[in-house]
Amino acid sequence: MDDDQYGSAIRSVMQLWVWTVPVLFLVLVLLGLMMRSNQAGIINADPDYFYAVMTLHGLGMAGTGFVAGLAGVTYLLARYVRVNLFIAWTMYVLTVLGVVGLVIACLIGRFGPGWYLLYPLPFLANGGWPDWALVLAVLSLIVLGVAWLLGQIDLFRALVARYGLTNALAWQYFRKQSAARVEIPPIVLITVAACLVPGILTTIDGAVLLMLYLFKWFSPSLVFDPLLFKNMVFLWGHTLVNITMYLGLAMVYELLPKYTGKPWKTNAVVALSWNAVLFLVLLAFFHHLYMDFVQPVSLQYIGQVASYLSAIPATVVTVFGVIGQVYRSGMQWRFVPLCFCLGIVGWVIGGFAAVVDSTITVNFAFHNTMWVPAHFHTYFLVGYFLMLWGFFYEFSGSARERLAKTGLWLLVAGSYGFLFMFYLGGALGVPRRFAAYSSIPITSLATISERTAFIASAFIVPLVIGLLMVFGVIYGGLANRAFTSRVAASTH
Amino acid sequence: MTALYAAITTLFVSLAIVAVALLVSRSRFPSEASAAATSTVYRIRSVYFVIILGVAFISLAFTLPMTPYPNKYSEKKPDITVKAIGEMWSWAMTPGSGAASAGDNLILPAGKLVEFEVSSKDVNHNFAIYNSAGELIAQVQAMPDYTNRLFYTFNVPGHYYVLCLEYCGVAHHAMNTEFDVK
Repeated sequence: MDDDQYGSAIRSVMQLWVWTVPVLFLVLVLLGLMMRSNQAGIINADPDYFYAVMTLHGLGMAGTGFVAGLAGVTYLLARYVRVNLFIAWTMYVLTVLGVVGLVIACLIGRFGPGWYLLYPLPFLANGGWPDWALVLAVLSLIVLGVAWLLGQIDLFRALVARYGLTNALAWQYFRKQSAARVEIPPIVLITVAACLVPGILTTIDGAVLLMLYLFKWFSPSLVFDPLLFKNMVFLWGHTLVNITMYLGLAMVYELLPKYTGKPWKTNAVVALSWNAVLFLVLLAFFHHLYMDFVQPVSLQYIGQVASYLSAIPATVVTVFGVIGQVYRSGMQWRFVPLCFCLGIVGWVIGGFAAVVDSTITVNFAFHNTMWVPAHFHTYFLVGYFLMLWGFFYEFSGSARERLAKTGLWLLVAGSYGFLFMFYLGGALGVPRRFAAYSSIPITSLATISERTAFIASAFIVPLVIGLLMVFGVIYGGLANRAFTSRVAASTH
Repeated sequence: MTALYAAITTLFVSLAIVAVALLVSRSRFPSEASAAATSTVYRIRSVYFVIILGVAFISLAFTLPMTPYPNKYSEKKPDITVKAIGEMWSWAMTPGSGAASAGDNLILPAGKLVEFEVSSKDVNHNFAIYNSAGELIAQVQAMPDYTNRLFYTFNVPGHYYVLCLEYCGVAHHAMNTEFDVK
């Protein structure tokens, strides 16, 4: 297969992802709207339905974000390496299968233990969901885990085969300047050091956990350690979400220079920063267990230190890298760089709020309040996903700049209004993961909770309109390109 | 108060981030100057890196000793011990040593060091204490097979509430109890 044929084949896979991901995302946003409306008292869904929707929303958003980023980076890396196309297609097909399984388990079976399936809740439904929904959900997650593990391992294989592991990790930049040094584009370094190595290790951790869940279902007398399982699930889930952010940054490093006209190369500082992430990202998850006082205190301290230190090098090097790219570049603020830069701003704000919450003494006041969804919605909704929409737009070849930018500003304005209600709620002690606030016995807290949920629901309206406009433009670009290539093929 | 300080800090830092972004986005200079501009930014980067790292280490040194863990209380003997057991979807609070008054409602003395021995009979819960103004003042996870020890001194008499802050199934939001401090 020559380069053109490979390029066209990997493009077909990416095209399918670009058609699929916005639909999934929009449905998941609407599930979010349903949850906030229920908390506001606007609608009145059964609690078991609310929690099933919450489970699907959490698993769906984290999974969609990760797999879309992995697919996107795989596509962008086609300039440098070739992945196995069969595996690329398999990842798509298995992901669709896994998603269908989860949708059935959650929306029909009302499977609702939350995204993290915290042991032993999935097995003690207490009337919440039937046995078949549990098995279907676990099997679906295993299918998704297998798909993503395959995709990650194959991309890792391709990159290591081309560059060698130590070169791909940019360790050669730590040696004295040499003419024979292999140049490593930042997208390669970030993908290997910050995404694939921690991603593969922790996906295996997740796979082991899910297999043990399956064994427990086969043999209910099996008993596991709840603290160990809590550590395992957060090692998997936290790292997956964390590295998803880095997949977005990898895209920005690769594509932003096209718009600024300035090269963005790896150097010793960039190499050191992303290698620091590789080691620290695997230790940050301990901050999810701060309120488990039986966890060894040394691990709690490691959690805070790793959370602080893993945030600094990647942020400093990326933020200053972006500023270096944009400052005095004379760049036109087209839709794609606008998405990237707004995405970086959202990522840094959400990241700062996360670092604040990763302080043990602050977490004592914020743990499982609305502060937690506040920060991760910030770096996802107006962080990572903006970077992804920028890439999708570029991929679609659309030129509807004005419409897309209007949609983007509506999306951003609605999102920040929506997020501010999360932060306000968190600062005032509003609990997260509550189907309804009317049952809170403290009147003032119940009122604040409902009102912040009500205002947040209102802000979702411009957010959705903005999303529809952006997605409409992306789909228009895709359709236009498909039509043009069909016409070209028929005239040929 | 911690929540308030943390929220205000986040707000100011967020505004600073937006201000920097606006400043950078409004820079309009001929492209000839762009290479020089990049090297200026990279020079500033090293300074900021050191500053941010310094701030992080100072924050760590300042906040790490403020943890709420039981090892800080190893020298102290609690005045009151209360067992708090979560079970889908209620709390059972039983006063142990220290002669806390019990009846239908648990009553704890103000100004005394209370040790809550928190556990669960089924799934993970979170024992979160709110005061009557709705402020979250202390919390700890309630986990099956383990006992988490939470130490707290109630300096303000009043009515207090316990909510569950770890999702524990379909009636999670309604899992609460109350007690008094006199």
